[in-house]
Amino acid sequence: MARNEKEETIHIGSKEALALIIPYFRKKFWEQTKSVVWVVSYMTLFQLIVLRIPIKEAGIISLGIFAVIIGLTFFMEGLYLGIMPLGETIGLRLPQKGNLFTIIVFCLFVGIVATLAEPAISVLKQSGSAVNPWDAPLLFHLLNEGADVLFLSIAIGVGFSIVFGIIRIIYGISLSKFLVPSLIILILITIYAFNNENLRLISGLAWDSGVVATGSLTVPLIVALGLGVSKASRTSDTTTGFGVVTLASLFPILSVFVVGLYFAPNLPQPMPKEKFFAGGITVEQSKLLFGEKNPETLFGISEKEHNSQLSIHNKLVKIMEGMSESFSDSLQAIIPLAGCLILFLYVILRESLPFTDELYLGILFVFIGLAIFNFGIFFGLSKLGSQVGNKLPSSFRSIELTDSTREIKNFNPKIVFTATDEHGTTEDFFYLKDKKSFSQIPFRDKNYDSKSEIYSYVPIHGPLFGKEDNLLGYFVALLFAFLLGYSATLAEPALSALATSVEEVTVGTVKKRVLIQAVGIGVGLGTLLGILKIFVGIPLLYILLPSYIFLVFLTLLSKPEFIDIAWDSAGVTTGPITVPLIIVLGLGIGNQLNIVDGFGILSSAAIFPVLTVLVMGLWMERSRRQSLTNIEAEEK
Amino acid sequence: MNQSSAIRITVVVHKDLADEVQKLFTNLGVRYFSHELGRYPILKRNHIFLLNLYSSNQLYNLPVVIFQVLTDKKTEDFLFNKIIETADLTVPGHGSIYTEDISVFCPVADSLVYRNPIKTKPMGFTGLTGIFCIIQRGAADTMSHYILENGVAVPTITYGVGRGLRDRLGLLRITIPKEKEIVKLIVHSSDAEHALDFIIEAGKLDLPGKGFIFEYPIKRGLINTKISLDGPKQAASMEQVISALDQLYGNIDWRRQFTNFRKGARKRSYFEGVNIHLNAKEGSVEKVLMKLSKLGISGATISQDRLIKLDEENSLFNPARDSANLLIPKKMLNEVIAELEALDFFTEETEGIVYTMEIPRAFSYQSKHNQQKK
Repeated sequence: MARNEKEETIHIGSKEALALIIPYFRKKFWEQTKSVVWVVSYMTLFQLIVLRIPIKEAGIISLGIFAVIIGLTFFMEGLYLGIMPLGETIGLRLPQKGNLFTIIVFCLFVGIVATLAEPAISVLKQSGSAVNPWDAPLLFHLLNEGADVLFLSIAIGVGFSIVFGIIRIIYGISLSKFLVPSLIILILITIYAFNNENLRLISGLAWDSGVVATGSLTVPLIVALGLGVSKASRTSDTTTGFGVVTLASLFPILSVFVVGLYFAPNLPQPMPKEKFFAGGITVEQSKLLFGEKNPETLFGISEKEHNSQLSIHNKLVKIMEGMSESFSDSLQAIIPLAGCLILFLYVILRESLPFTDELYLGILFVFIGLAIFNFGIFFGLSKLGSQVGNKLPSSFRSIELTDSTREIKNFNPKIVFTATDEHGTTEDFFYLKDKKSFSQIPFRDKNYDSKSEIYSYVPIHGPLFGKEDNLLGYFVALLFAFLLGYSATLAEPALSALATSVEEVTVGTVKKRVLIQAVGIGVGLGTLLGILKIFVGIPLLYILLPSYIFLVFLTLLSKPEFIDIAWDSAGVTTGPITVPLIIVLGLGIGNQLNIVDGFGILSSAAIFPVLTVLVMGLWMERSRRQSLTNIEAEEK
Repeated sequence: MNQSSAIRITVVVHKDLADEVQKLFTNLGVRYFSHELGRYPILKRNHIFLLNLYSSNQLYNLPVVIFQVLTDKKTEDFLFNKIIETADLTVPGHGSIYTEDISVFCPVADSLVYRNPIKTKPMGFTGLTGIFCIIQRGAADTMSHYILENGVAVPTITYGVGRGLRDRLGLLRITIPKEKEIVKLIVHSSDAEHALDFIIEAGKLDLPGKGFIFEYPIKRGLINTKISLDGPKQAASMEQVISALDQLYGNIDWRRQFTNFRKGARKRSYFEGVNIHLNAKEGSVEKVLMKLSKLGISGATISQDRLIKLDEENSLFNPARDSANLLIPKKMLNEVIAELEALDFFTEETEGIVYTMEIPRAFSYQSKHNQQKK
């Protein structure tokens, strides 16, 4: 340290530079590999070994998963180098240099820009196509024609929550003062919605969108902003700067309900499909639902997609298209957000950072990372997830494997036999030669095209354990849900960023690893309950109400620092990795069991992390007290 | 430049007791003090049998708050005793307290120092030495384990950011992690050299890039003895017995555990200097350190603390602060202070405060080339 040489920048040759960069990159790469490997190998092994169904498009999926890891590596490094320091610096200077008005305008603006840039939110839109307009008109409207209004309302909700969160830290108001009233309002609205058929169907979406709004880009930024503000504030001895994310995941729920309430009177009530098309809706209602499109053409004929028949050339084109799309998406997400932050820092706050080059490199990394990551999610993780999710019900009932449909050419109906059972009902079947064995396949008239003499054979799989709807099968599905929630959480980038901040702020008394484990177990439990909700058909309210009452009770018992962290981890849990996997799981099972909306799993997956982290906090509190005094031990 | 000599009192106290200490400062009218979060690890025995096979002892980290307050020689005993009384520091696990002689450089140096005419008897032990050790983030737990298992002392760990070689690399600096952990512990002076050796071995500090360690003199102190979380199995826990013996003897000489015969310890080349402690508005210390590097000073550790100033009318100081510790050769002290002044470190823009203390012994890996130069 004490050296008396004149020091300047060291010039490093390309060879030495590589010797520095390679181990650095390798280390970061392994970190992300370790976090992703669990969920990937878990899903793969489950499908291969438990369900015994081969994985389709394994090549593209592997490429996608590799892209997820590379993308995460860049993205996380970019967050730590660029977005988080930027957020923290602005947070530090904001209360000193800006007046209340500037703070409000800035927070509102950042919230809206960051949320609209959030990649996870587009997952909601994708899931919109799975909803039938006659089953849930309001839900269908919000996810299709009204999607822009929905997203904007979510974004405004996040914006307001950042305003309240920051003001809370500046004036040192405890989180529970915001938390308890907003929860009461939300629960009341949900109870009100429960009695209206249309609104009840969007309550799952509302609670889920709150969770989705806070994703991998928003959360680290909000957390950093909160930490910065709390450092510079004089009254923040009791609050730690966390807790803004919590509000950011509660307010959007409210705004979705408000939007729902606004549209509900103009839309028809749910009705059977026949009535729907036979003039059950007015022209205005149709316009609201479908815009200029004709509903009959949309839902009359469903086109079948033949993925397996795509040529290699087409596949490559599809991959290239996906890549360029994710790059442009990523660009759209990063440029407004980073540009707005940098402009604010330099123009309004007139501050500079000591290492600007690091900052720009960080933003570049986030951009590259996000692009590769999105691509990987779409081509790898999502595909794998939807395959497993759609096939999971085969553990308790037989399902058709539509994606492995095979066409039998020159099918001759003469080979069809008829079999009977003890009641005298008959069923047609034929023998299929598959490699070297012969198996009996039930014959369905609708699958045979007499013109082209092609029979499309849809393999049927399951149930795994003997009879249809057996309990063991349900149990396997629930166990799968738990492990999926748990292992997907370990890979979640926003959680990793939050946990790093928590470890930093608590100087290692709350370790990153421990927090991630606690949250993972919580998400696992929540997913399990969400799936149970779909199986048994429990209304969302019956899950939310008791859980939140219990949580409020636990919150009153806990210390403020743990309250903030615990509630924040709820908002953080569900990001680009968990959301697609869990939503797909819910929709897959929902489809097989003919349930209208598979939503609501996410919101139940977001409650339990709060619970587990609060319990962890109480447990740590016990050891802490024990360290201070041994009176309790003596009393026993 | 206003320079005045003062006493720095450092209180490391369990987080649950921090409010009491802060209230005391408010009541006494201590106008300036800083506080920083840290942790102290203690051993925790696993009661679950299977986990016991994996490792019999695990570390449990307890949150602490580290207060630093400046006072003059006349008030030292009074404030020292008051803090001990308030936080009950004689009970193991509550925390440690120690004082050091320092010189303060700041335009308003005098107003930073707390004065009170009440006189009291001195308390605490003399003959202590502090050890300050900077290592890579994540390495402190292993090191603490060795230190606690061998009963050397109870370490206090804080987080910091290292500077030095990496800042001269240009953008390639991102490949070298800057996050550091700072381990501070207090031992008996006659044990200091051996404890230093012990830590150098435990942390492999004699290898390049592993860390940096120095010892600093302590005037008087009262140190935490709690090393394990397990409740007492006897009428008094071992920590309480140790603490009672300390009080009985009035010193901790009896706890000397290393004999003066060194066994196989390599001859290490230590160096000496002055530790400059820079404290300024968050974000500004880094900029100043970059400019200082042209004097040949590189390598400093920055940590973050909060400065509390209680009279609101003249709220000169911003609460979010950066603190940096850097070690320089003694002969350079005046040059560095002059340079800091020239860099506007003490103006209202950066709100800088500097204090220095002498470092008799410091150690880090040095290349052969550097060793010959010393």
